[in-house]
Amino acid sequence: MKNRPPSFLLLPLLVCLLSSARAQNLILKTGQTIETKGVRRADDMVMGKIRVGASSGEVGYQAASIARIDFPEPPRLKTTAALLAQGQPAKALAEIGSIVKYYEPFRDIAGSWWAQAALLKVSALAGMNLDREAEALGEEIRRNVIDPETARAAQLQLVTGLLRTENFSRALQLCDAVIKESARRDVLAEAWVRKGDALLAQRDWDDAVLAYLHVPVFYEDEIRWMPFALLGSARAFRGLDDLGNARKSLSDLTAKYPNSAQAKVALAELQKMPQ
Amino acid sequence: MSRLVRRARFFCITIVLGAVIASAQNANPDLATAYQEAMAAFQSGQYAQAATALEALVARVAVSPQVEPIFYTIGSAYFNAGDYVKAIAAFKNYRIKFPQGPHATRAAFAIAQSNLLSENFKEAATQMAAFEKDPQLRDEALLFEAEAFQSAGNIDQAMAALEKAVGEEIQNAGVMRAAMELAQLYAKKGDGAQALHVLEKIHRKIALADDVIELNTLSVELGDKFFNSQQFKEALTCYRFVYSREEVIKLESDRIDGLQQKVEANLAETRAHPSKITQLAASNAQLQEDMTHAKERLNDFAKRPSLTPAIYLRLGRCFFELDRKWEAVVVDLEILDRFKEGPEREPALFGLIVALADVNQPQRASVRCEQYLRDFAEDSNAETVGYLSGAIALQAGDTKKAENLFDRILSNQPKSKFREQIRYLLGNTSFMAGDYDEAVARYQDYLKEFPRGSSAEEVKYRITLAALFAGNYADAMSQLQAYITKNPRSNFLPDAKYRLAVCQYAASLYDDVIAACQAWEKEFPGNPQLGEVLALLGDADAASSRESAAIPIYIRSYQTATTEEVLNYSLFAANKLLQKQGRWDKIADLFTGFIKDKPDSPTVISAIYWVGKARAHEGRIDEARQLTAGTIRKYIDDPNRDSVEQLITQLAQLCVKKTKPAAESHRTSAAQNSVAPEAELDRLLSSAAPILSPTAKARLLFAKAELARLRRQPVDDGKYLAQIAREVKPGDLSPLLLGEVADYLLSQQKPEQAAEFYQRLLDAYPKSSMVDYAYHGLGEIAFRKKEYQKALRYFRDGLEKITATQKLKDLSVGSAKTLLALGRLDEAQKSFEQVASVREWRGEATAYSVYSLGQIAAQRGRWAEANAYFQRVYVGYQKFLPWVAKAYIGSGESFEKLGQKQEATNTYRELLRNEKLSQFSEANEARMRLEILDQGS
Repeated sequence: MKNRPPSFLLLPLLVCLLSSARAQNLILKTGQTIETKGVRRADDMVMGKIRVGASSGEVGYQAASIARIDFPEPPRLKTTAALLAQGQPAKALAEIGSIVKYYEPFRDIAGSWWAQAALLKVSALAGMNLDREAEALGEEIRRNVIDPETARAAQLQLVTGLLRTENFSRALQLCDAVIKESARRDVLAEAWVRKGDALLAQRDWDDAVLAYLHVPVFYEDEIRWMPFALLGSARAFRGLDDLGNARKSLSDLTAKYPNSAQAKVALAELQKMPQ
Repeated sequence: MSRLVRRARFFCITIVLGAVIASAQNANPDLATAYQEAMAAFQSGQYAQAATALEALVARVAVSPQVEPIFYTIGSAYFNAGDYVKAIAAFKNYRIKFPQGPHATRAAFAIAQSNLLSENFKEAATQMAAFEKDPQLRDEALLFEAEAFQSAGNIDQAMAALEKAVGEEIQNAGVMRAAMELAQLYAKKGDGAQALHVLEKIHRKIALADDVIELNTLSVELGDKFFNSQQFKEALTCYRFVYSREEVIKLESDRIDGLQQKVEANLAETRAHPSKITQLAASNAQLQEDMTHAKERLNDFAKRPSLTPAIYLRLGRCFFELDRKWEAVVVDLEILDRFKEGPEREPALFGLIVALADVNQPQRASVRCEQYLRDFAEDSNAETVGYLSGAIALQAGDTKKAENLFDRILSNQPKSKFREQIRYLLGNTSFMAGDYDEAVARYQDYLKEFPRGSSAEEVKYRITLAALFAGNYADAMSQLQAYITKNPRSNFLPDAKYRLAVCQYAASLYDDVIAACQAWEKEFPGNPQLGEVLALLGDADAASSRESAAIPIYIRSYQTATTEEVLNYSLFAANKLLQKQGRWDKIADLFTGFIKDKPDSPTVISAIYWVGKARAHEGRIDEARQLTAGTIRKYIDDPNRDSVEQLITQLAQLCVKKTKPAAESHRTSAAQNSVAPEAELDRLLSSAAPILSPTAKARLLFAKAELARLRRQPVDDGKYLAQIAREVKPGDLSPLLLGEVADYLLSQQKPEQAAEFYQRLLDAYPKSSMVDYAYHGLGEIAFRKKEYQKALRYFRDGLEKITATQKLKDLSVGSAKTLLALGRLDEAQKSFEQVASVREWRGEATAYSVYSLGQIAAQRGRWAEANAYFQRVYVGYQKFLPWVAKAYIGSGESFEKLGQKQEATNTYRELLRNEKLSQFSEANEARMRLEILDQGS
């Protein structure tokens, strides 16, 4: 397809005339902001829908010339996260699928919500035990994201696969690197959970306890990771034969996160725990 | 003056300034000049001068709506000059002259403020209360009202006003300040829940806080208050509300940016509406001032060290006090890992050591003790840590290390406050290590240094006991007698007399033991050691052929025992004697009585097993069946009761047994005899519950499998185990069933399915005596997949991390064969030699091991040695045909390598002559080798 140059003459007018109610502003590397009524990708161009008076049309920009697109945050990110926290991965997957698809063409442009949505999709897939699909998507995120924190979160998606192949040292290496570098609470909470998983899989009970407990101690508000951490810590305590603490972790889980998928497992484990 | 009230000043100026300027535009030119001069004085902060000038001005003009703002400004000027009496008079004057004036409400509010500032708190509070319904002034009025109440010492009313201001949700920066004040008041009052509730509201609207640093201070102060009053949960919540350095910088920077944006918005508004310049300029002046303060605060904050380690330290202490020791460990570790310098490191390291010792992590604690004594040798806790280092090593059972550490502390910290305790523990350490001579020397060191020490009496007694524990009974006896004579009031007298009797028992002085024990009981009635003494008495009776006397003594012993160890010893000692006498009726009574006496004892299920067994011996098979089945039904749903399977096996045995037609036996019994064992088992275990739990269902199938096994029906045995595997989830099975089902699946070449059951066993029952099934099974699966490292890990864990009982042989063989597969020949050889040397394991494992030793020698090219092993297999273990076949081939090959072709030929022919080996692949291999050898000859 032939690249079309942007119609520069129109731009000053457009900036003033376009409504910003549902705007998806293009911010060019020159600092110029273009208000659009919607954008689409056409090869290496980003096409913006614009209105001038009563008529509408499209202007195209080289993706490389765009600094950022100001997409509004998709509300489904929050609803999907909530569904995941409630242990409903299938519903979460259905919720987030279209968002991932919509933002996929813009994933190389700052401001796209693709990586965040795709990360949620990874969690949903993992929640449905679709590990291979989850890993593949995690790897795709890692290869494509620009934001280092999102890249770190994507790195963590590799851990499950590494644990399955018993590559524990690599899994721990990944988690430790994220723990060292990240400043985002949700990423850190996930990293400690994954590290706990890696240690638990090696039956290194006490180190697993210490890893999991980082979440309730320092990231108690990261409710998405709390159920994982509590269940993991209960299992690690069990391994240490510390039934009191194991029972406490499971009880906390069922009381504070009753709608999580882990709460159901916790209930069953509580019932089967020796008195 | 509080900050709430200080902010009131600006409020007056902005409103007044704008209003007066507007009205002055229509004034008389002379008056206008006078007015402008007065206002210039006002604007330059000369409020008293402005007030005087404005008073002079209003004296010259008639009272009219045009001059209304001047009257209001007079009050404002006095207010700002701090002359609240005149301000009140001026505002009152305004209200008289302009009761409906545009500033009438503001004037009334200003009167209330003036009263507050002139400390007329009661009036101020009453006047402010009048504005609670005015939506414009409500929040401010409530803040001032609270201030007035608080200044008047009426804290409850102040809190009520602040509560009204804060409401359900904080709406603006002023209310945010009220909320902070309220949280402090609640904390002061000791109402932790309410203080936290307010703090939560504050943090929900953190963007409204105009000083996050101050909020942090508030959170820490509140936390400390709670901590000091031992409200650790509340303290923890407060500390968690403290923002990190990075968060504070971000929040404050965002706020400064917000203020800057407001300034710019005001400037834009001024350009669009020049008439608003005075108001907006004043607003901007205030914003600039706020911004300057905020920047100063931020700069100052950025220079300060991070608050995080101090907060973490507090968090750690809270967790520790809340008995969440693992969490305390996490926090202390975080401090030490993240903050390489700072005053928090020492207390964090100390806290970590204590917490680690508490959560039974002696190795880690020990490492941290070393670190502490290296990094903080001169610190106040060094003595405690020194003592702890030894005590922790002792806790870990590392007596040698404990001794070294204690000795080091005695020499490095000669004045340690723990010196006495260390001397005492040093003796105990040697005692524990079985080095009794050293223990006596250590105890004597203690007595020399601390003759009246708090442990002196015990130390003296321990010196006496050393001979007994060293097995030197004659010495011990004389020492104990001496001790008893010398210390007639000692707390250790009951123990000393009991130990003396033990010595007498060792010397076979049974009559003396009996007399001593009987005297002991009289002398120390109700002493908790009675169970032990009675057990000894029973032993003495039994050893002196007074078994009938011993039995009731043992029974009394278990009844009075204070430990499970004594209880089980005496119970089963009585059982053993009764079995010897063939008194199965009494055995049944013994265990029935035990069940009645100790219904919660873990030995109950074993007791029922014995009652059943006794009844069966008596020919009371039905009764035994009923009893066993009743117990099984009681516990059948609980997978943690792993003795249920023992009872099931017993029941299966009872069902196979035929009931003896006793004289009083009845027709029913005869009828039952004709019932097939499986039907009988079904009848006995049929539950009252219409729907069986998965655990119960699995156990019923296991019972049938056991029955099939006893009746030598292996197909049925497997059928039931397969059904369990198919229909019951691993999560519902007891340890034994998990192991049995998994082993069955593995034998059926279903490793993936087997792995699930093994894994569940490993995860859910790591301490079960059946867990070695899992280590072996998972190792075997990995071995079959050629994942040798993984296999070796499982086998070794099974041998080293647990006390394997069921699968010790298999784990040993597994480990050896994996080492061989990994080419670690030396280790493999050692392991196979071990297996081959265990007499109890004689059988296929030995054949396999000897064959493997041959393989190892062959791999090293030591063909003569290899041949000797192979020959040992086909000569000594002919029963194990697969290994015999392999051994023949190995032997033939060895002869070939040694150049002894005739011997090789003979060996291959010998294999072919053995009909039992004709179906083995090795037979073809032998034929092939013979052909080659024939061609070569």
